[in-house]
Amino acid sequence: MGFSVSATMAIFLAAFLILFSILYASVTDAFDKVTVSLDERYDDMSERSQTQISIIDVNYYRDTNDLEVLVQNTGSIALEISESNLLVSGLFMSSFITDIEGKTTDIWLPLEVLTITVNDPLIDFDSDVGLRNLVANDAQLSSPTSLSVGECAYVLDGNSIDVFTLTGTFSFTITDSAHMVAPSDIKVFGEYLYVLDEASHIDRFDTDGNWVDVFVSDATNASTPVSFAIDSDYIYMIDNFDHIDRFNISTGVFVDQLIANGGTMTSPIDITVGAYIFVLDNSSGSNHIDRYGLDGSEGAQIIGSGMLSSTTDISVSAGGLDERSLFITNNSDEILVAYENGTMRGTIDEGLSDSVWGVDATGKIFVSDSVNGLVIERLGTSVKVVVENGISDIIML
Amino acid sequence: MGASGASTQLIFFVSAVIVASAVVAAAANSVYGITSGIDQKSDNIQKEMLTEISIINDPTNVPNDPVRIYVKNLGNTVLNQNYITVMLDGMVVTDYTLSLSGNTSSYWDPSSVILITIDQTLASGDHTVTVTTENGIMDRLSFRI
Repeated sequence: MGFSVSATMAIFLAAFLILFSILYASVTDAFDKVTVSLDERYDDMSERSQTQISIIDVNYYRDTNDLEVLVQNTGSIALEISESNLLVSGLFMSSFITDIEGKTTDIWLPLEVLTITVNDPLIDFDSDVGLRNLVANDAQLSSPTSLSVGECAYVLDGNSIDVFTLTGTFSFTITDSAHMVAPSDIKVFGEYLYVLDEASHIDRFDTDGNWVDVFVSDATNASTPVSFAIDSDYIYMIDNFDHIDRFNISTGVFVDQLIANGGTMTSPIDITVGAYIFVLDNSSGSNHIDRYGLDGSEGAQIIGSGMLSSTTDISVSAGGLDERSLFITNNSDEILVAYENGTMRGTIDEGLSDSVWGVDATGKIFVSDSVNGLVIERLGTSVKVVVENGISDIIML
Repeated sequence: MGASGASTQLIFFVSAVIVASAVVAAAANSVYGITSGIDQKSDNIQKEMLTEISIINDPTNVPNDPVRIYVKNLGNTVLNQNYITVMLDGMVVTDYTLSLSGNTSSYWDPSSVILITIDQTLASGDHTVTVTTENGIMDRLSFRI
C-alpha cells in the first residue's frame, strides 16, 4: 500500500515538474514576444515623434512639363526616400524622380531638401478653392502690364522688365535702353525672352536679361506688330490690328499670313496659342474671343461680348496640364477662367484690385495688377507627400 | 496469505500507477491546451502590435467615380491584402479591386501601398471609409466630395 502511494506521488511529482516546465517555457516565450513587440512599437512611435516634413515649394514648368515638389526633412531622423509616396490632385503617383541637391540617394537626412520631379503631372484648375490668393508683391512694380511665366515670372513694367521667382520673390530688373525702347508685349519661351519693342520688331534676350538679337524685324510683312504668341514651331503675330502672321521660331523669318481680317476677325488685340489659336478680338468697341485651329482654319467665336468687359490680356494654360483652360482679364478686376471651347469654369478676384492688366497661368496663376503688383493665385491642385511612417504634409498649388 | 497479500499489493500498485497516469495524462492535455492558447494568443498580440495601416488619401481630393483609396502598410509585418475589410459610409464593400504599388511581391509588404478601387460614384457631401486588416487593425478617413 505504502509503495503504491509512493509510486503515485512519484508519478505526480515527475509530471508536475515536466508540465510546469512546459507551461513556464510557454509563458516566458509569450512574454518575450509581447516585450519585443512592445519594444518595436515603442521604437516606431519614437521615430514617428521625431519625424516631420514640410513642403516648402511646388512649381510647374511648362517648357519641360515637369512638376517640382521641394520637401524639407524638418524632423530629427533620417528617412528612406524610396518609401515615400506622392499624391497629386488626390491621385497616387507611381512614377517620379527624386534627388537631393542633384544627388541621387535613398537617405534623406534632417534639414535636407528633397526634390521630387513628376513629368506630365495631373494638375488642373479647380473652381472650388477656398483660399485662392497665395502672395502679392508690389515692391518693384509701378504700372505692370504684360507678363509671361517660365522658370521665372517676367513682368513688363514701363520700359523695364521685373523678374520674380515663381514664389513671388523679386529677383532682378532688366533694363536696356538701347534694345528695349518701348516694349509692349513679352513672352518667355525656352531659352529666350521675346520682347515686342517700338511696335515694330521682336528682340530676343536670354532669361538672365542679356540682349541677344533682333529676331523678327520685317517691315514688309509685319508693319505694325500689336501682340504675339509663341509655340514650338512659330511666332504668331497680330499685325496692324487686322491680321495674324506666322514667323519661324528657329529663324524669325516670315512664313505666311495665317489669318486674314474679315469673317470672324475684325480688329484683333491679343493672341495666345495652345492646342488652338485664341484671339481677343474687338468689334465696335466690344471684345470677344475667337478660336482657330493651328492652321488658321475653323475660326469661331467661343466667348461673346456679353461676358467680357475691358479685356486686356488672354493666356492659355500649359499643354501638360490635365485640362487646358483660358485665363482672361475681365472688367479690370477679375480673371475669367474658361475651357478651351469657351465654357466658363469660374472667376478669380481674390486679392485683385480694379486695375488688373495681365494674366499667365502655369502651375499657378500669375496676375499683373497696378495696385497689388504681381499677384499669384492658387490653381487649386493639392500635393501631398507621405513618408515611410505615415507622417505627411499637404500643400495646394 | 503471503501470496495473496503480494497479489493484492501488486494490483493496488498497478491500479495506482494507472490512475496516476490517467490523471497526469488529463493534466498534460490541459497544459497542452493552455500552452497552445498562450502561444496562439501571444502570436496574435505580436502581430497586432506590429501591424499598422494608414489611409494616405488626400482628404481634400479623394478620387471619385471610381473611388480610389490608398492604404499604406506602416507596420513591420507582411499582410495579406485579400483579407481586408472595406467599409464605405458604414456599409461593407465587397465589389472592389486591389492593386499593389511599391513592390513586386504578391503580399502587402511594409511601406508599400495598396490601391482599393471601388466602382462607385459618391454623391456630394461627407463620407467615411474604413479599412480593416486581417487582425482587426483599422484606419478611418473622413472626407468630403
